[in-house]
Amino acid sequence: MNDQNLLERYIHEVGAHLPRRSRQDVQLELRSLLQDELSARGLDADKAGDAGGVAELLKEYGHPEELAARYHTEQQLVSPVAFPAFRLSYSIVASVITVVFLVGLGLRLNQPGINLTELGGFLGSYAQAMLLNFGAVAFAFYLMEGLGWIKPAKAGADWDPHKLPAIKDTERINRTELLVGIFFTIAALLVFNFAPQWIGIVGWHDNGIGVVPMLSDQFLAYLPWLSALWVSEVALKALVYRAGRWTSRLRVVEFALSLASIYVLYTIVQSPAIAKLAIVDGIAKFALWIVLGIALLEAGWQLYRLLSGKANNPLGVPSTTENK
Amino acid sequence: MVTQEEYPALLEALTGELRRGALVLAVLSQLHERQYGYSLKQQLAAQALDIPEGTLYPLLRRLEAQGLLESEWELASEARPRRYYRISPQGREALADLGQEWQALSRALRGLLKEEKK
Repeated sequence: MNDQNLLERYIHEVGAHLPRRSRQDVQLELRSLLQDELSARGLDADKAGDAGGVAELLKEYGHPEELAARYHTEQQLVSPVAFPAFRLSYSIVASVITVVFLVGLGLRLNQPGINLTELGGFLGSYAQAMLLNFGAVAFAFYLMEGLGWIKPAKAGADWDPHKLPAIKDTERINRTELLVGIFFTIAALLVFNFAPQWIGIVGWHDNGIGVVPMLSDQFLAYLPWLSALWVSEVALKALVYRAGRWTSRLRVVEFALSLASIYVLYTIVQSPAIAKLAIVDGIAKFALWIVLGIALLEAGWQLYRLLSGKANNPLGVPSTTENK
Repeated sequence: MVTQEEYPALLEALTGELRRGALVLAVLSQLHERQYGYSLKQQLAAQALDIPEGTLYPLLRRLEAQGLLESEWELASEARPRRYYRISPQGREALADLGQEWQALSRALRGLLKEEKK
């Protein structure tokens, strides 16, 4: 049984078929309109006993796809019906391109002699690949719709609001995941600070087989910085665990921590040697470049989420034509 | 040729088509005073123009995007914002022009339908 009310599930589903730029505004207005209608009918979306009446009202509004199509009147290559599938498809394609780009960039950065022009060329080809593939995926959906392979799921009144999908709460936490994260961060903190000699490669040394320490003195000089980051991360996760969900303040702390991590990682990767053996140093730096790339993408996503979230707009009220 | 069973659906589609253009005129005419979506719907219904929610509310946004309406958000009660719409100067101009078109069309159709009755 779903504990979210039908109204919110309906509003969420309509939004899922709309482009991001108009989604929040339409959802906010739709919620206000539906609440007015419910009040006029003496219904409460949170009362289980009123679910039948709420479902009736939603049926009058029409299937989420149909309503979204009425709101989405601009010229479009991908219709609201196909929009969620298009978004998912392009996310997959964009992720693959990004990973390929990061691996390529990491490999190149690991070799000497890269200059700004070459780096610019790398970024340019990445942007070009993203744009070309966006066009290709959009065109593929346009063709599929034109050929009638993608059709509205259920038209007219013949749909059941009770079958609306549940809303995925992205701010809700998985406590087990958090605890595992805290455990591994503390483990790293202890090993790097109290037994750095355990980090190395297994091989022969003077007393027989064992671990040959690999961390260079240059790397160990950064240990206080790394330790500070790990302690902050454990503290942040503990706060999230206690709060039970991500709040906008905790998201700001997370973003600040990401920026600090990127700075420390970049400084480490720029140092002459982080491992005692040249080949291990090369592999470790390559891995660090990939981690750095992922950290940059993650920070970009965190910043976007912060700026587009409700943090700047506590009432969730968008701008109006009178204010424009 | 549609069958007798298919005729109601056809009639509904044709009626919808007939009303669609007139809805813009009806909505513009009722927004000299600001109204929020539900109050406008009620006002139109009181004058025997029952417009489905799924049609009226997206239409308001479209007219606003076209510059014929203006909107502003206001808190109706705690944490419950409402969007109020009002006709814009451009909307007033369009209303006057469309009104004239409507009168001319109406006269012409009345004449045509009178001939039809004879």
